[in-house]
Amino acid sequence: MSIQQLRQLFAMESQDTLQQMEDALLHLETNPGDREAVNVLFRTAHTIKGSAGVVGLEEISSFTHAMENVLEKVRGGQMAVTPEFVQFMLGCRDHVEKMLEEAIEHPDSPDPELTEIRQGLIAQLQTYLSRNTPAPPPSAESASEQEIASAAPSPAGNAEPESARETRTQEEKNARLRQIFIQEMRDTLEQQQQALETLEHDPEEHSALESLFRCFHTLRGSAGLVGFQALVEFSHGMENNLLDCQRKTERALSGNFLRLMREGHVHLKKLLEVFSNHGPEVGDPLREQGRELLQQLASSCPDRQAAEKSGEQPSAQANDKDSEHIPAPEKPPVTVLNESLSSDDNWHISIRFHRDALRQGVDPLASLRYLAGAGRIVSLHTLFDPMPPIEEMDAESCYLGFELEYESEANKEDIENMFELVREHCRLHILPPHSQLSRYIRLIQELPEDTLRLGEILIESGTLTERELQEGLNLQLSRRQRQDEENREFCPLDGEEPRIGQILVNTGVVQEEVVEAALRKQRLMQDSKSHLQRTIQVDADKLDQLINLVGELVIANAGINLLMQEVNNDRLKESVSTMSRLVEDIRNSTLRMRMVHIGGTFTRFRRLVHDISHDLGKKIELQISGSDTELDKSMVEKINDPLMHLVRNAIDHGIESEEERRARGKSLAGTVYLNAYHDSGGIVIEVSDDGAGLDRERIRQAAIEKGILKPDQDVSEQELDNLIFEPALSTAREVTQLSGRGVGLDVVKRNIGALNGAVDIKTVPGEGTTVQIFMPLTLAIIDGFLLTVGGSSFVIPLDRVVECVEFNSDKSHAMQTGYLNLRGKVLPLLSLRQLFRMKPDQDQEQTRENIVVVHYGNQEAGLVVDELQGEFQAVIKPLGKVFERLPGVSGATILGNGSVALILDVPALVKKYALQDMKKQQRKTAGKTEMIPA
Amino acid sequence: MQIDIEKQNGACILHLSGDLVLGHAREFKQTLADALQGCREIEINLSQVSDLDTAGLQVLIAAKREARARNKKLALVEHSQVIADVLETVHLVGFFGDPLVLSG
Repeated sequence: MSIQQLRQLFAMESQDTLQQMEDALLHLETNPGDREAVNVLFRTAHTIKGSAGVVGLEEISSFTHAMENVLEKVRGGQMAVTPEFVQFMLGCRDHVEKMLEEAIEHPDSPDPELTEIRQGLIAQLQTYLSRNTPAPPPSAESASEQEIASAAPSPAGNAEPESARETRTQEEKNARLRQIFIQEMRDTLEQQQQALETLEHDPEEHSALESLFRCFHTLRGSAGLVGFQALVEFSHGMENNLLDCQRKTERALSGNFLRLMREGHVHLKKLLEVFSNHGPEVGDPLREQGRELLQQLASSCPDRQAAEKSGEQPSAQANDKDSEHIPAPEKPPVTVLNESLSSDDNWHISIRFHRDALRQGVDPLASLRYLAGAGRIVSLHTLFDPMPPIEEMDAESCYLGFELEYESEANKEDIENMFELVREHCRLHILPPHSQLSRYIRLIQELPEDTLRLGEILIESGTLTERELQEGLNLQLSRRQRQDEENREFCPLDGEEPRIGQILVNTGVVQEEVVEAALRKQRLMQDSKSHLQRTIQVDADKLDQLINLVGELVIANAGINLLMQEVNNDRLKESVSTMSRLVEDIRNSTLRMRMVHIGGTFTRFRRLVHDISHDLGKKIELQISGSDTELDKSMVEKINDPLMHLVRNAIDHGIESEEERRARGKSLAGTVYLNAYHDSGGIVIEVSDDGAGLDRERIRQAAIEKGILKPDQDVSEQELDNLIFEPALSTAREVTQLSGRGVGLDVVKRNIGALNGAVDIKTVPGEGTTVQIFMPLTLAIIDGFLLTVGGSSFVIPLDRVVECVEFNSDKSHAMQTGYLNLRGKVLPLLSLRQLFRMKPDQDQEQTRENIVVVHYGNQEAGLVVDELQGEFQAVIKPLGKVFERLPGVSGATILGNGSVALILDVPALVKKYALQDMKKQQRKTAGKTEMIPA
Repeated sequence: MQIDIEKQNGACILHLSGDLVLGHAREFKQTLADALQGCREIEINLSQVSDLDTAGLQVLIAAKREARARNKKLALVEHSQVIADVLETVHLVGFFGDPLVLSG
């Protein structure tokens, strides 16, 4: 594989990584305290840095390295996540994307403008970095990495023992080998961390365990190559311990063992750090630490008691800032959760002062001092999350809250009495020692702050262990799902004002989403992780070729079916029907290969919504559902532009300004919904907003001005709404300014029409608008219904067919009026014979005719045809330029006998002809009808 | 309460004295907000502060947070005993991140 191919591969993979980065950033904007998102952010930057280095893209590597350094700082808590920072990082992300494009398209001639922008961004990254803390020296490391990158185009894993022996003689190559080793170690450690994280959630996950084991093994092997003895010893020890323990227990690893494994992971990182800075010589203290850890591990596995004992020894690594993880709790993790009590001897007190507390003469500090006088404050966290930026804050309002662990002999009443004076001016929660876990969970969910943040505080102060918290949250969630009522029934805790009861329910609901979202996110991450491993990449052209071949196979099969009917041979019939079934299966699974989730397309709109709402100064929330709905890949690409147009339109024109929304009593933030679902063989995509809806009167006036409508013409509301898709109307200035709708919507409609799709709009004035896009799932092969008219064959997509009826009763009357009374329903009729101007049969009155009832959306119509031939798999062939715009015909297909059948475009037929006809009927109350205005 | 501002090439040194309490909170906040606008580096000398209540503390917190968000340096120096006590009570010594040197 050439380096350029490698780079293309890298660019493709990076699309996903960049998407993750963007998601994490947007998530952080609303939840600046979310540690997990920061971790994801850091990992994504790291991944790109590593891979870019491997394929020799130094600029990208060094740039993402700078990003990574700043993110490291955020992760270490030395820097807060502000909206400006998120915005800036989004800019950086976009720049990485641009650099990637540039690297693929113009590998040899870097754009000077891009370089300039990059230097600006790097300078800013440096200022972020240099604030408060001395800047770590990134240059040395990144420079050396570039060196490997340019020198070693093959992946780092190719360091073979043979080459190692060779290079030992040459100092320079030796250094390079070390660099490769360092890079490889980093990747391995990354994998190991992922494995550990997975195990934490599911200790029995087999593949993660294997991965963990493999990592130690790889580390040991590679460390041997570069003569890094300390690492060989340590990872060997870890590997053995893991193996031993696995064999002895034959079941899930205990929490404590995992914690030690994590510490081992941190220790490995330290060793690697030492190696990259000073070489293979490791100081005694570090070696000693490693040995201690191994001993702890050895004793922790077979014997539970011993395990927990050793866990109690405070470990230097666990508190290390370098640690990826939340510092290990000081108390041993409680593995038995049956009693559901917290492992805690202290009172837990949560106070949130009301805004006007200070003005009411309350001094929160005084309360704290009073508490401190009557007992011992074990730990305390001051919260000021609701405090606005300094410009906007009211210096006389109180924004503070405290979470504290309090050790006291006093009983609950006494403690409550200590708050006697401030009680009216705050929300107070007091949880006794050894409270039930569920109460803590409830507390977390009642308090205004982010669940994760409070959870972290509880863990940090030793009230709860991480595991208890997680179990509690899960428990709570499953209970909720079982019994939704409980939520409404639980009583407010002590010391609260009655009206809070309602607020509690509300906050409860909000938090539920937070928790659910977190769990969903976790699941998704695991899903996508395992998904990646099971995916192979196939060239799209090869897939297209396969689909073409399958199409030919389907046609050939139809030919055989036809022949079979001539030959009366039962055994032949049997094998032909088996083959037909197999061909159908092959067709289905081939088409499914091209199916992708529409979720990816939807998520990309988060950024669009974020940017537009910034530009317009409107608060917009994007809600997505139906992400799992599958759609042909080629359709996904083509649907993107129309969707973007609709989303933009919804935000720009649909959703009102904040003032208008306030006046109408709506929530200030507007919402845009994206939804997708399957419906009768097609897909429906909906773009809705909760804005003002269409102004029908304006549309009518504009349409009259443009001559689309006559002043006295009677149209239904739905028809009126759909007029905004008319080209003449949408370009009309007055309309776009006054009604605020219709810019370029005709283009949307045309594009979707080109995909055999259709657009519909529904609006409720004052409440919002929904645009529905109906699309076929695929463009290649359809299940059709074959029929003949006057010797010619036609195909209708099968999912459009409702039923078939024999056409005999009242024939002449029905043909005259153009309507049929079908079980009390008025069905407009459309004669294909007349539509395609075929000569009527001589004995038309005698031939049996049939009606195929077809539907489109909510409308039904009857097609009058001669013979019904039954189901048919139609491979769609384009008609060629001349017939491309032929109304009512969407394509052609080849029948088994080699003749051509036209595929009818039902929506177009129903709409254009049947409806026009209906109007004519309305106007001409009597008289003969010309069915077909050709 | 009295605030004296001393400027040294882009850096501002605020000398506070008296009581940083509710009654002066608005003024104190505005001064700090202005300083955050104009100065690249801010040093707040607290040696002469005789009292600090919740309102005063909140202003300090807000200023520190703002400085962080804007990438500016804000340091509290020469904490008086009162200040040190308050910061220790609310466990925010680490949040401000300044060395506690008592000026006596």
